[in-house]
Formats: sequence, structure tokens, C-alpha cells
Amino acid sequence: MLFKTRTKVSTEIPTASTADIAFLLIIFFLVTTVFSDDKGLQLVLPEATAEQVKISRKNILHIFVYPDGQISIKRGRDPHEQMISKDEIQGIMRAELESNPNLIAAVKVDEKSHYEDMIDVLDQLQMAESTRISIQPWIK
Amino acid sequence: MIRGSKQFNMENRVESKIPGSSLADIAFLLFIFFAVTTTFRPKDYAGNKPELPAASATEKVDERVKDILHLWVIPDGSVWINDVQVPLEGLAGQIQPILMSQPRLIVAVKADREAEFGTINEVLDQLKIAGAVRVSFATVKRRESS
Repeated sequence: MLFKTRTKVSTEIPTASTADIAFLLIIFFLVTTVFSDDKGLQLVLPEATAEQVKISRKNILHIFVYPDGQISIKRGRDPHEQMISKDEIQGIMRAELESNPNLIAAVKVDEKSHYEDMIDVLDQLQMAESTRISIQPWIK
Repeated sequence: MIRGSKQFNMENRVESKIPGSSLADIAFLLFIFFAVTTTFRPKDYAGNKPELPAASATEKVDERVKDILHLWVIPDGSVWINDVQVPLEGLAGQIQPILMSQPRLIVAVKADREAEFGTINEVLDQLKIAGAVRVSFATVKRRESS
């Protein structure tokens, strides 16, 4: 009779440690995950092609950046330059875009200008939701 | 009767061992998971970090970490890709092969606010030649009060 008693083998998978493993994983991820902290002003450059697109003068708003950080604008056919402060660009651009949605902002920056001044202008233009922006060196 | 008393005396044995045979499987699973998912961030420029300009329209770059290429422009005019200095004229040649393997590449230009536009313009020209048209000018968010 004693012979016939079977050795019982446990068929259960012990799950007591699963929680520990899961927590270990969570902690590992918390410690190692690197979040992208890249922030900035996005811009898509034109492709380098030989062909030049001709744009009517009335669709261009020139914005000049001087080496000392001064800003001036020149509207389309109007030959006069108008000195403005940086904060005014946004308002002007909004008003101009209202009357002409095809307007292109041509930012001409002097080679000796600081990068910061260029970014300030770009920032103002992006805040004015201007999508057609051209950044070019100012060759006098 | 005899049989009954015998059974009564039998101790109910409780298994006290933790089965360790699956531990290796778990460890390997973890190892494979990490081997597949880990992307290493290339080293960044090691010198003094450039002082980024501030901008109100600053947006988060919405792209995977490995598709963002850091391009540093130091005030003295030197240009670095990650932690390697590259000559300005050779920039396009350096970026082209990277762009081939990662078509969704965004070049994050991390330039100092005092850098000259002449350098930036040259960098942009090189990027155009290489065909890396998605550019982000790294900025810090300008506080509304200032």
C-alpha cells in the first residue's frame, strides 16, 4: 500500500517573485531612460539646385540685420528702408501676411552679425506664423 | 483500521524550494530586450557648452533621439559633429553618409549666440549641398516676463 503512494510533484509556477522582477525593470528604466531634450526653431532648407525661382518684388519683404544688431525692413517695390525694433517684426509681418498670404520674408543678414540677432528675427517671424522664410547673407 | 492510522501520521510536506531553473530564461530575455532596444547617444562636444540664444517660438524637436544630429558651432568659428571637429568645407562630405543611412535626420545646430552669421551661413550652405534640409536651430525657451 505504501508503495502505491505517488510522489507529488508541484505543477504550479511560483509567481511570488514576478513583482520583484517587474519592479526591478521599472527602476532600471527610470534610471537609464534618456529623454530627448532637443528644443529649437525648426526650419526646412531649400535643396541645393541650380535653378533660381523668380519671385515678384511685391511678394518680398526684406528684413536686414546689421552687424550691430539693428533691424530694418524694406517692403517690395518701396526703395526706402525703415529702421524698426526687433519686437515690431511680428506685428508688421502679421499685418503684411493678412494682405498678402504669399509674402516671403527675405532675411538678409550681414556676415559680421551675431547669430543671436538672426535667431531673434527668425523667432519673431515664426511667432507671426510666417512659413515662407528665406535666410541669406547680405551682400552689399 | 491499521491503514487509516498510518495515513493519519503522514506529514503533509510543503515544498520549500524556489525553482531557479527559469531565472536564466528571464535574464536572457532581459539581455535580448536591451540588446535590441538600446541606442547609444554619441558623445557631445566636451568643451564649454555654447550659450544658446533664447526664442519664444521654441519647440520640442519631435524626432527619435538617434535621428537627431548635434552640430556645434563654437564662438571661435570651429564646427563639431557630436564630439569630432570637422573643417567647415568638409561638412557636407561628413553629413552625406549619415543622411544615407538615416533619411529622417534632423540636424540640430547648436550655435553660440555670439557666433558670426558668416559661419552659420557657411554651415547652412554645406547642409544644403549634403541634402540635409531638416534643420533645427537649438534655442532655449524665452521666459515670457523678460
